[in-house]
Amino acid sequence: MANEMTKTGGDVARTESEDTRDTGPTFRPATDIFEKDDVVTVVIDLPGVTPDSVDVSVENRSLTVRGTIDAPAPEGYRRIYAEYAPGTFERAFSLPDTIDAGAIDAAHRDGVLTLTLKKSEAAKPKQIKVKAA
Amino acid sequence: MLNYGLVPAQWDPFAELRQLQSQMNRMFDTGARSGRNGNWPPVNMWLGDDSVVVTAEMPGVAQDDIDLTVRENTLIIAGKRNSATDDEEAAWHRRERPLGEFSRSIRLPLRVDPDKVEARAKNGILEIEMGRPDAERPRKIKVKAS
Repeated sequence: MANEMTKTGGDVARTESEDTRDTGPTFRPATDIFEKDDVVTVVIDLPGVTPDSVDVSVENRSLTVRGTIDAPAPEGYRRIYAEYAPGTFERAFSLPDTIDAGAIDAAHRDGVLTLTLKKSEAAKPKQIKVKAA
Repeated sequence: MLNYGLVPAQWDPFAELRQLQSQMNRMFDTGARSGRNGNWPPVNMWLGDDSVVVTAEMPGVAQDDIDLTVRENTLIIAGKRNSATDDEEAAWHRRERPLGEFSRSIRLPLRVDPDKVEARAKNGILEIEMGRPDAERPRKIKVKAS
């Protein structure tokens, strides 16, 4: 995957992040996006990510969602079969100009992140009254 | 640890990781749309002394919507994943999350006692702990000095 981080033997290539743990491979989470009236809803599957560790940021009209899977092995058990692995979910979306980047709501429940985006006032259709001359 | 048939000098500790990752990518990129093919949810299995744990990634499935059946050495995880919206007027831009009814049958490495099943859900991960029937626990046999 393009977002995969390279291991650098102790040093971490990222500089701005305080988190220096090795977070493993990066996965692209499955996402639903739908629009109704002036609200755009983004629904992202983040199984195993605690609500506290979900990071939603907006920079240069790019919305980035990041979350590290925190699903420790059951104590006293050893893994004998695996179809999913620990790592980090990450996905970026570019926000169109019509979205108000300052008014994004985020909710997390049962491993699903729901972002509610609103269209900016400027982008809403306006009625222009035609005055009779 | 799996053996990939390489001599120790060529063994790459990250080969296993990469293989797992490519499997994961495949899982996320295709086939995940429908839960009807019997491959959803993805599971991990863990073995303890007298019990087995199955963990399943099932985000967005409420605890009440999960139906678990345990018989002998088979676990069936069934349920339904609801759509993000039921609104018919909503315009979809992207629809990747699997939805609908799912049912997955998992063969366990040991027979389990249906009375010793405990299931917990947290952050979209379901954990099912199943214990072996008492009669089948390995027993220690003391050697008597004659």
